[in-house]
Amino acid sequence: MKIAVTATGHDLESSTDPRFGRAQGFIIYDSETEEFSYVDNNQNYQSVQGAGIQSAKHVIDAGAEILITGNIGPKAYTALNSANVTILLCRESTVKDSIESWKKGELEETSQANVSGHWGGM
Amino acid sequence: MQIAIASGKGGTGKTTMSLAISHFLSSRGNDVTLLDCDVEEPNAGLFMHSGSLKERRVTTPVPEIDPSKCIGCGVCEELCQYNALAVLKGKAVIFPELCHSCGGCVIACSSGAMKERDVEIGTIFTGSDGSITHLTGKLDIGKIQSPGLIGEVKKEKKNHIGKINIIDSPPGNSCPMIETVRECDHVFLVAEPSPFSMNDLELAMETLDKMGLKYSVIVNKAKEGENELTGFLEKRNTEIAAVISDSLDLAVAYSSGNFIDLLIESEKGEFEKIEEIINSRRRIVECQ
Repeated sequence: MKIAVTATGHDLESSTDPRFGRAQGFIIYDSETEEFSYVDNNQNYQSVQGAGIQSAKHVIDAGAEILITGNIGPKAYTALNSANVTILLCRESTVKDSIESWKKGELEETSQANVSGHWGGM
Repeated sequence: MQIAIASGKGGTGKTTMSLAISHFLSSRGNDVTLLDCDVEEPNAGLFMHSGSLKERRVTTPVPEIDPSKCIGCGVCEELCQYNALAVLKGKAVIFPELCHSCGGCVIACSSGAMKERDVEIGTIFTGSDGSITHLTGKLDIGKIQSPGLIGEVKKEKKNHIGKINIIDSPPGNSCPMIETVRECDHVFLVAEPSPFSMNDLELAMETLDKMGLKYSVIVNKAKEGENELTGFLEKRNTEIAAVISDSLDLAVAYSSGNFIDLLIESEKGEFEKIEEIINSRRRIVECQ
């Protein structure tokens, strides 16, 4: 199973990024092979609006079934939910530690956005 | 004749000047309409005594997707500059609150999966206070499509020869301000002698330069002995339309909702200068 973690760097030792839409990038970790890859999010990091939606698309297109991040907004939630991605919230730590926490079942699943959007509506 | 009042920084006195200029020009026998295009927080109406207002609801077209026809090609997503569309699991999904109603996705979709529907974004109120007609655009709470509503306010009262539209702009230098000042014959930028205002004024001037619009600056809340702002404008060779003095009496009158007569009376010479700029622009525009 593939897990996406919002990350501030390119490897498992990097800190998790508490933001989702404007995360610097994503570590895509495969729990079966224990291999990982990095997806850059620079375009959304700088986008004027709709960053959450496009970041959700990165996660979905990478084939991740689980997302580990700090905060999730309403439109990103809608997009991820439409593709049945499970969203787990973590406190700031390293990517590696957050994956370990997930393996131990310590991360809390969210069934709604935990922060409000930046552009009205929803 | 379309005259916009803009500033960059908020709170420098755009609405104050819009109201005073409208009343001054009206008292000089002009046919004046005041358009409040600060649709996210319109407040010129607070100072108008209009009685009943006429209302018109404004809509904007937003695409709707028929998932049975969508082939997930992603053309719409690629085209949308506002991230309002995303192809998720093979189907396009629309986030209507991010849409700027350009209509491009509907034209680009080759599978006929998209059509437009109208969504309500705000209201235009029309009233009159004596000889001044005034229009107010008010964006619905939670909506972000202010340029669409601003465009409708401007369309509601088109430009006519012999008439003057005074257009109160939203603050800032982004889409709402640009939609407001676009195609105006002259822009007055209202600035105050503060670092924030001067910073934003410079951005507003750059914006208007790029748009090729004529403008001059009204220095508001001017304090005696301070010349940083006027010095900056002189150095840039920017026309100073008027200098309005900082006044506690005026602030008190503003708080009571009755400042217009006092402002015009105490700064009559400055309003005559503004009138002269408008008249000279008018002669040029109406010759063309």
